[in-house]
Amino acid sequence: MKLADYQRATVALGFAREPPATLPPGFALYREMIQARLVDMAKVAYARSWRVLGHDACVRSFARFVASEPPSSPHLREVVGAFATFALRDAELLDSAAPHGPDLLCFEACVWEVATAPVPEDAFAGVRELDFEGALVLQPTLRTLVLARAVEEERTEPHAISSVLLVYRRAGDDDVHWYRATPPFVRLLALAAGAPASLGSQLRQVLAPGGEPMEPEALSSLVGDLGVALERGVILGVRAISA
Amino acid sequence: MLHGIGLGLRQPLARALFAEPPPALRWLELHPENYLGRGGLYASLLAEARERWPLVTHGLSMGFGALAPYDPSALDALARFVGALGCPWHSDHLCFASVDGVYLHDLLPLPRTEEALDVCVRRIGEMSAALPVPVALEPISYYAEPPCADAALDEAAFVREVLERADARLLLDVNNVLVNAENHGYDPRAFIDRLPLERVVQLHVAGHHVRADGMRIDTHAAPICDEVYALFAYTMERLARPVPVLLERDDAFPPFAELAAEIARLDAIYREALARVGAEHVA
Repeated sequence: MKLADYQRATVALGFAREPPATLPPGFALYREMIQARLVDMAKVAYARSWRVLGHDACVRSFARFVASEPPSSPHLREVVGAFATFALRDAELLDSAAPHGPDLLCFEACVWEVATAPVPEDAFAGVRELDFEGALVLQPTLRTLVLARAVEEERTEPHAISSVLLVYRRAGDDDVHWYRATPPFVRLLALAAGAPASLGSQLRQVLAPGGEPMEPEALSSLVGDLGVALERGVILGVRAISA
Repeated sequence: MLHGIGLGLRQPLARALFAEPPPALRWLELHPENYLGRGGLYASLLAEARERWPLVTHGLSMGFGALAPYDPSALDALARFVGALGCPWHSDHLCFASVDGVYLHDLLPLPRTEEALDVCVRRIGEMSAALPVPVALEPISYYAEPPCADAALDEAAFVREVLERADARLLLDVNNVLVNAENHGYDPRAFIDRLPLERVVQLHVAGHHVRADGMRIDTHAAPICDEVYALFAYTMERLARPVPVLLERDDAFPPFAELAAEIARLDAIYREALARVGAEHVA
């Protein structure tokens, strides 16, 4: 057997639905070891989802995942992240799942990603206090998550409530935080994540997209949201807009 | 010069390790895959570890039996990482861990053929050219013999050939030697005697699991057994010089005091072995 044939047979042994018969029987152990290592990591990452969706169902979904998308990253964390993406469209897993199962997995996958998301070295360069002329600078680890059910707090019943959750990790803090954002603030964040523009112009786009005068109450509420976001570290400040 | 007992930096151990480091602990080893491009807790752990101990990197995903050349961007990232940490060398495994862009996340044995030898020498050469430090290889524990009709070399001869042709360093895992010797029926001391020990830059020591059928599985999830301690003492006497010795613990983490006790016992064996052969221990 050529080296390439042997190595490819071993990959099939590790991940294929039906392991090949070309390898000696002693290799069966490797299939168990390869899949167990990956499954164990996913189980840790998505502990609540694992309980809600069921261990056996998750293990079967994981086997379907590696059979159809064998790990393409040397980083276990990325394989675990890719599994969540797969599982969220795995009908066999989700069809019989509790209604909040998909939202919960979505939430845990987001937390898993944010927990160790890298922060670029220049993320804080040129950031100054908030003013209307500068462009909003968002926390680089910030992710927005649209949920149909409240699953973020384990102690509360996962009732139906459409919301956008801001999930992020602050500089110098290893913990992941989250809170629900108001729709106007979510629209402001979406604008801020796009092409750089002044905060003032983006506030107008959110509150008065047709050029009409801004409602003082709405403006006050959105400025309040900005203050909360600044305090929580979701936004860092503003940066001068380069020409 | 790095020497004495080290510990693998693992997230579940870090808090206890940083709070009360064992007195005999001299250095830490880490897997680049766990830290490269990663922020948050892992970045914090790395920052604290590098302030307090010398660090050595030990890869998991770039087994030297990879058929395809390494991704240059991955090599470049590794080179910058290893260089920034001031590591004296970087090691990975004499195995294959990926093929055709698929990563097994495990260490798979290579057939001991000329073809495999040639591949390993090429990969080690690529890595050596890219990194600012020497490259060391670790022979793995394995549980089945790869099918290879033209295999002409036994395990020790294969390791020796790769080391010499690639001019590489050796990371000798004493636990792997014992596990393989028991599973495949050979004398672990005779195996060690046949290795080019002058190339050893580092040792690994760990615990393993013994299945009901007697097969030994290299889990890094159990205390070091007496047979491994004894083989470690033998290896130190054969080396007859101070080297860095790593306690590997990757799962089923016990109270940290138990690991500290293992580190103390390893340190005592290390010092006694060096004293027996008249080698000077570096304080």
